[in-house]
Amino acid sequence: MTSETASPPVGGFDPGNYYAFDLARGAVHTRHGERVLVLSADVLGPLVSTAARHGDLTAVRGLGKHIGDDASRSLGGDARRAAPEAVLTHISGTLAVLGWGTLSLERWGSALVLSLQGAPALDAERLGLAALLGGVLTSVGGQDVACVPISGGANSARFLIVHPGVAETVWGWARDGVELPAIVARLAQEAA
Amino acid sequence: MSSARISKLEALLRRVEERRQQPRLHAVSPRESSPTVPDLERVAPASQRSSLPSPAASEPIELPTSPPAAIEPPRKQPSISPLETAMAQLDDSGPLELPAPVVSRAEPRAPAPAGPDMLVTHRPGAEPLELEAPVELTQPKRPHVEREPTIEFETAKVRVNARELRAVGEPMGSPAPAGPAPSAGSPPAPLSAPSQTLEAAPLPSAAQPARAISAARVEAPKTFGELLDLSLALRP
Repeated sequence: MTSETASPPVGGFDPGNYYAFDLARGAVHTRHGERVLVLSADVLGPLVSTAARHGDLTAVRGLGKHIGDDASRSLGGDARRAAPEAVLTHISGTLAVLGWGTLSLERWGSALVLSLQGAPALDAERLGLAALLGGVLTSVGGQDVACVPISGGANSARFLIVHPGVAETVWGWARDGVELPAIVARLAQEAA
Repeated sequence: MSSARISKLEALLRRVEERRQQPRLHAVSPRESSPTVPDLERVAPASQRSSLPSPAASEPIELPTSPPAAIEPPRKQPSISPLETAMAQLDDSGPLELPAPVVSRAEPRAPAPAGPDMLVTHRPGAEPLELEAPVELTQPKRPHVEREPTIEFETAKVRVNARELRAVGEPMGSPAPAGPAPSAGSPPAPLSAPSQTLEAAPLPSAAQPARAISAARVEAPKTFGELLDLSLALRP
């Protein structure tokens, strides 16, 4: 059984035939041949929280790299040379097909901020999602990228894209209650 | 005869009547016999002046009853020497001396009834009149027309205007520049240099302009890689 969707816009993400359900073998594969499991978000959440408590979110970051690879294949070119809108379209489409919500990109001066809406709550501090997105951008950007959860509501969250070397510092500011504009201003002032 | 032609003839006759009542400066030739060459500026020869009836002996104009011939507009003559000659002789003394007229005769036609001397460009079936008596035309003295001023300029207004004009070239709040003041009613002299130069007050050294952040808004669109590098470059 395959998913049927409308024709995508030209140059946009094509979700058609992303999954291939091989009921005879009881397997689900993506259109790239990767086998996937359809899991409940309530089950995955506790697993991610446990990993976060242990400080090891490598598996989640790996999952993000797989998603990033899938998005790069969908983009069909070097993501660093592509327009930001095109890259965002394919990353967001891939995350949406996999059930991770909708993604948008914000620019706060020189800082980039990812805004994820409708994502499942994996852990209270959103470290799982931060690791997932970090893995996605690392794969797409071709260099190590860290995403630090800054703010968010019940159904949305913002993640600041920073160098992995300053991720802990920025995470500390966020936990201290510093708002995103102030964090960006601090980073810009110190970088100037 | 069509009504249009009748109205035309009536208009011509009205003109003739009007000219008859005006002082005559020169005599013109009798009615042209040729239907194609009417000439208002041709004057009757001296031999024919006697045949010109006096205006007092005018007879009522009778419209022709014969079918009209083709009406052609009057031809303009390139030279108006008789008229010019007559005009050149205009003065307050003596009668006019008219030059010898030029009369052209067309094909003989049926004699037209004698009528007043009139400036008719065309009269179907007409023949040149025979002057019965010499006509001496005397030009009345030119009336001395004293032109009365139609507009009276009030001196006060002129002075006010001159003062206003002077104020154009004067700097604000400073004495008038040296130079001849324009007289009342004369246009102001063009300025060769600014009458006043205003300079803005210097900015205080402590005041700093706001930090320009618009540069980021007008920068050229960057690729995803460039944006990512900028964000990764922010380090405390």
